[in-house]
Amino acid sequence: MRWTDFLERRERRAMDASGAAVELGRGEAAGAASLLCPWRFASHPDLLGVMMDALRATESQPAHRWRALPFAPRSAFKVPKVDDLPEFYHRREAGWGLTARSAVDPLAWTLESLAFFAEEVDLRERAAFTTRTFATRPDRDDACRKLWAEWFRTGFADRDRWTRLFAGPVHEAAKTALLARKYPSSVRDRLLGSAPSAESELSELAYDQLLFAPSDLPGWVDVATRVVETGGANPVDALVGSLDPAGLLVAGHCAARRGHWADTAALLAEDCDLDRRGDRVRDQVSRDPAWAHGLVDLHTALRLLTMWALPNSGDPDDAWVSIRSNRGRARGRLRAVLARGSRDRLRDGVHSVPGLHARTSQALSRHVYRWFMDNDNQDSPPSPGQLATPLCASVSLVPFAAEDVPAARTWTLLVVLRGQLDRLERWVRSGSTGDRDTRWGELLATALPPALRDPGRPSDAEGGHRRLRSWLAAELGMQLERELPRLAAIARLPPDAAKMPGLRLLQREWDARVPLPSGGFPAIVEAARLALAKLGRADAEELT
Amino acid sequence: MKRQVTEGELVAYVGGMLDPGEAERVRAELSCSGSLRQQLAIVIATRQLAASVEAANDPPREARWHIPSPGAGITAFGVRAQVQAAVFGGSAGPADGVAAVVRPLGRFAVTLDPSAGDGWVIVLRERSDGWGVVFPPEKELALRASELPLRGRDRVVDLAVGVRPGDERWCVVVFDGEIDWTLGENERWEALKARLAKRQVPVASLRLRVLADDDDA
Repeated sequence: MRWTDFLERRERRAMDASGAAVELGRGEAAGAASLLCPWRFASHPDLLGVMMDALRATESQPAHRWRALPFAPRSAFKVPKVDDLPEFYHRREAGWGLTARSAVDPLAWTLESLAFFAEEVDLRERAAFTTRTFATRPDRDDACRKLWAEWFRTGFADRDRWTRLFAGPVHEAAKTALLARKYPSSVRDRLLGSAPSAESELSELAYDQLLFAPSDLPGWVDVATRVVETGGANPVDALVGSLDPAGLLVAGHCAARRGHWADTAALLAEDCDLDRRGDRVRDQVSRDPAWAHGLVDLHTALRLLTMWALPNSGDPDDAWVSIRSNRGRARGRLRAVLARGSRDRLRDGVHSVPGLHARTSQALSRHVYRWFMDNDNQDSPPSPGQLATPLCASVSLVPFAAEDVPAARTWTLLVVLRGQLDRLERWVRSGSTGDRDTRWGELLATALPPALRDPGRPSDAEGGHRRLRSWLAAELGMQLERELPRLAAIARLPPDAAKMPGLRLLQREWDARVPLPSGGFPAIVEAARLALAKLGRADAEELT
Repeated sequence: MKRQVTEGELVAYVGGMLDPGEAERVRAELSCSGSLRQQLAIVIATRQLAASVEAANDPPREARWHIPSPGAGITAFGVRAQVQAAVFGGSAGPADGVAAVVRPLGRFAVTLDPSAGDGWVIVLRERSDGWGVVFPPEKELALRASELPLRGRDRVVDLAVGVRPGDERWCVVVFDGEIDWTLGENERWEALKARLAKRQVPVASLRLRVLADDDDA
């Protein structure tokens, strides 16, 4: 893309957004709908209607520096040294450091930003997937097909043949994760010390991971769903297209109940109870599978509106992290539904894709990579069974009264700000942090409000927190995403003078039942930075 | 604040682990930033140093021993027993899968809890040419778990490392099938190998680090 093209495109979008905002104020939605058309919800009237209502009801409060990004005049830009910008160049970057000279209509800003991210989502989350190729190699594809048939028939595939076929991809994926997460060299050397082969310790470990079946979901089933995920124009369409009516029902009820998805589903069917909402989602997707992708886009865009309604919001990086997290979670949940559905259907999905060996290599690589990346204890390789995409929690598992949820959210934020996010994740996953850290112990013993402890149970670490763990298992990822703007604001504070502004940020939304930090703000700033680094990684697929 | 491409993302990019859209974004950032390209060169060099890349596509051979990684949770595979190792006269190992650091010829023990059953006790050790059975060497010396000495409720397999400094890998299996001693070395263990591959037998493996004589344990 040439620099002048970029400027013209940007100006056109800003102008269209300003016009559409005025029209929308008069009750005319055509301009806004046209601007948002790359979002998939825009081609479904019911979904588009929800978005228009949300736009009218929500006012964005972007920070001063983010207002200028779409609206600063052409003359304010420094011309870059390279005229021919790559297509994927992050086009917001050109406006960094500009300031808005005049007042900006919040609705115009919102529409322009949504239009910008619509293009980004279309380009990066859909079009980019169509560029992938999976080579067909008849001999290897046949061998692979036979092995998959064994997995589905017996839950076990010839260990020697499987590991011989996939030792290389497993080795490369593990190596990437070992380096990316900075495992100690002793672990790296131990696992990578020999050339990749069916004989290596790494191959044994990776195969055991496929055999292992936590909650009756062995690793090979997850790999199978990842193979199916490669089979369509993009992962969401491929997964939705693979669900049978029962799977669609589970996915629909999941959407009606889970975290912020419940808010989105409620906007679509306010007059119904949760079961009816789930049924409606299922019915809509059954009639028109493309509607599901529209719903994913609607949910993603509504989350952006919620983020931007916070004061001093609007950081495009935060927005992109939110988009990636929401879409990644949707993919993860759809895979989980597919994995727990009909094995025959899953098998048919695996067998139907061309280039099966190449797709299996990629699916297995992604599985092994995530398994190593999500390992909490980097002093040793991950154990088999640590990776499992959880299915939606049913409403009966949401354990707190509505009035106690704010306390749970606040306590979770406190844990993150005290630098205990890794321990929290370990505790949620396994019920133990694996150590006896006193800071963690204090957070559980003294900072946790009594309402969040199990009623009638001793409040020890083992027995008194089942409801809290259940809630966190379903909600932690979304709670962290919800706190991204606040964490980012805290991370930007100068550590030496963080206390007063930090307290102001926290007090904006802090449940009084949880003790507000009174000191240790330099460490809080550092903890916020570490948490952001962890949450903002671009390859984040599932923040459980 | 502009979020830069992180080192972790660069590593994932080089390893092909990013979704296509994210990979394109990193590629675009690389095309615009010389310093990022320098970082990329370091990542690639580190990756090349970490290990070789080419997959060995070795031809099929006779059925292999599939030994679990040290520390893998064997009870996870539906096997009730977990075999534990205890080491005498050494020190606890570093947290990289080494069970213990021991002197040459140092002793160690593997304990079998009662749920391991009363099958044949098979001990394997990894040699330069792969895993091999070191016990029982012949039919007359074979032992069932119930014939081993008791320590509390557990049975104890006493073993000793060799004299050469370096890491040693050992494995103990309790096999409740029959061993056909009339068969040759390669065929005798086929049934056990098949059960072991499916993780259907109580098994544990451990790695021990043998010190040179002049090192401190």
